[in-house]
Amino acid sequence: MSLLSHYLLVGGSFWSLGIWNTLRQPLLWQTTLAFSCPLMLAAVGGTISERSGVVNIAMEGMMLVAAFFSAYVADQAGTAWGLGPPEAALAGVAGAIITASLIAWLHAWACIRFHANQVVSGMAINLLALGLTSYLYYTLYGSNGTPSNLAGIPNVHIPALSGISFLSLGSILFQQNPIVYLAFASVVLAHFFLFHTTLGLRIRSVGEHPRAADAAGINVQRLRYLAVILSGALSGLGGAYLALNGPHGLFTDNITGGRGFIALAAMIVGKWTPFGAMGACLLFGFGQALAIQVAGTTLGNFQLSVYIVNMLPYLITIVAVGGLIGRSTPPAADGLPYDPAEAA
Amino acid sequence: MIEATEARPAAPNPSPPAEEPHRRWYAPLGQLAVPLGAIALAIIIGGVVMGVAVSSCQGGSICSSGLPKHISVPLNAYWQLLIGAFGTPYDIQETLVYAVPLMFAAFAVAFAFRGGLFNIGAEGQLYAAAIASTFVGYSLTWPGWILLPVCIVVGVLAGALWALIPGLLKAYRGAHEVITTMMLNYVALNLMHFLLINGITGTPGFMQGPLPGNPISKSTNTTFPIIVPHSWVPNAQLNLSLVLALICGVIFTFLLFRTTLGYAVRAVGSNIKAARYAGIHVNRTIVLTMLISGGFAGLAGMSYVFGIGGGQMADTFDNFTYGFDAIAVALLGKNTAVGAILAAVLFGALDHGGTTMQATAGIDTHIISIIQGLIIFFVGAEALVRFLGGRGFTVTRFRAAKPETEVPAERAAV
Repeated sequence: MSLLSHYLLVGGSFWSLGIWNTLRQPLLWQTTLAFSCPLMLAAVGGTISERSGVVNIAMEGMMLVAAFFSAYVADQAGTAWGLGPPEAALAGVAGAIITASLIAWLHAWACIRFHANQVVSGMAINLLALGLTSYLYYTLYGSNGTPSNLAGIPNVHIPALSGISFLSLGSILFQQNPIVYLAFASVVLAHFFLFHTTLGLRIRSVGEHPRAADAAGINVQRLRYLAVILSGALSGLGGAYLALNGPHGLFTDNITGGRGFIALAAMIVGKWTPFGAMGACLLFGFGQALAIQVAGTTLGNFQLSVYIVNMLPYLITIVAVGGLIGRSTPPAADGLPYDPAEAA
Repeated sequence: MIEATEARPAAPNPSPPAEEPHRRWYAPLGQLAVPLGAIALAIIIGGVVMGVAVSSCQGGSICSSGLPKHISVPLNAYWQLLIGAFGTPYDIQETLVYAVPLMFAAFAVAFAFRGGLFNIGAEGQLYAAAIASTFVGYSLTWPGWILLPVCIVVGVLAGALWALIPGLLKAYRGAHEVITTMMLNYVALNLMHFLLINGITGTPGFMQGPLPGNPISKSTNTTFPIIVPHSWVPNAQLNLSLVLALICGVIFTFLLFRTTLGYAVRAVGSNIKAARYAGIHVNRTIVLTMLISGGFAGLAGMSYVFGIGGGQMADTFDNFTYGFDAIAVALLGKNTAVGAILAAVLFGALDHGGTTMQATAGIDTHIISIIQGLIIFFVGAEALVRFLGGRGFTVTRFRAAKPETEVPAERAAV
């Protein structure tokens, strides 16, 4: 950084130039995508679940359990089963998806079969997941943490495309983690699934008017199980990304750190649509990336604390549900249990 | 407080909030079945987790009794936990010390439940109250007997104001309180970090104490006086906030069952349409419910800082998750004051006994979070407990029982 731009950054008279310098860095946009990825997966999953009428505030817990078990399975696969790093990491991802789906099934079972309050069940799963992962982490790994040579999923450089130098697009878009591409794919697929397939239409009808759907011969309960477990699988992939991204995997206590709740917020700000959720996740991811970029640096006379930037997604969500920037309305039957015996 | 009665012309009475028509003498026992079943199931599953994950039993005579590991490990752990929570007079008062903030927070959650609102935000409200009352506590240098009541009032007001935001948004914009209170939790958490750490290198937080790099607030000029003489129990920490909590239990019950406002709250909680037809100001009742709920939550944060915290607010405050545990405590206590107090003591015993269990039996304390999470899960899914309790096996076609806890039924959507 030249002396002049340093002066401009600190001096404050043209601090917009400081912002421009920050925005020009490819790293900012790379981390935006990297931060958005787990949010996007969980938010898209939540969208599918809530479209079917089951409130899912348990994305945090599902991601956390998935993150732990992705690391644990990858560790076991590498040591006990003798798999090489790529296979071990893949086994970790599979383990994550399976465990998160199991947790999702538990939520679905309590909510659909036993008409549990869906918010209470979600809260319980979040607390349970935190307790379970912390307990297993400290019991199995102690103070040493997960092994440093744990298999991970490294970023891939897509041939030809990754070399694009225009606006550093190559390094921003085409040198990412494979799971980042899967996250974007999941948005497109979920949109297609929900709005352009028969099954998607049925899932939405179950979330809007289960009685009518039931009368039309749709199995309300089964579709809700399917939607909730799908959301668990997607959250699971997000959790695996948190633990395994990079050349080496790593699990730390409470690794999700509220990302599941940010994903929930993104789902709401995105008005229960996959593309809306994606937009909100990119915005929140950008906020986090920016917070890290500008942490401790000076913009004009104004120093920005990470904690203030961290508040933004939550404040935006409050404004959004408050209807100040376009009202977010949930699916009509979201959160209401359905009992076919009562309808008959 | 609220002119619900005078605004009611010839309209029929609102449906009186749920009272069973025929109360038998054993009815309270039936009410206890689900909470006790939930606790039992959680303890059993917690035991299974311990039995599977822990490699060896240590620190007790149960270990050398020759029982297989899968049985001796959990038995020993629970025995150590029980001793740890109630073994000595010191442990008993310490269990109560842990329980007091939970009582306040549980009153907050239960009051909102009664009004049909799900206040997940007790956690954030208690941060807000802790921040405000700590600030006042170290800024003013008044004598303790006047400063402490002032700090109590500040704590109540700060909690209430933090809860006012979701209350207003719910009443006048229809924003679901679960979302808004949850988001405000994280805003309050970040605000606390900001005030205690700042996050900018070289600049201490606004409330940070004199030790650089130590995320602890300045010391307040007063704390709750200890009510257990040290000649009885050395190092006792149990303080006047316990008395305040019991008084709040009385206030909670009186407000709900002996005032017009409480009637309006329960009417809105059990049937919002009937309440509206009866002329109750639903929106105003929702706002007042959140205000009072937030006030109770505020006392939880305030009583923590001026009690166990010793007049300092630490960054590790968020490790306690009082606001979340309070949901379990409120549900377990069936949204009554007595129930909440008993359930809070149980959770206090788990928290305090858990530390002893970790020290003597070598079981990580996080097992306690697992048990607490399971309790919430099972209390939330009462029908599941009844099902596992055997009733479900005899009924060919399972049908969920009407939930007994007054979880907002009107709309649980997020």
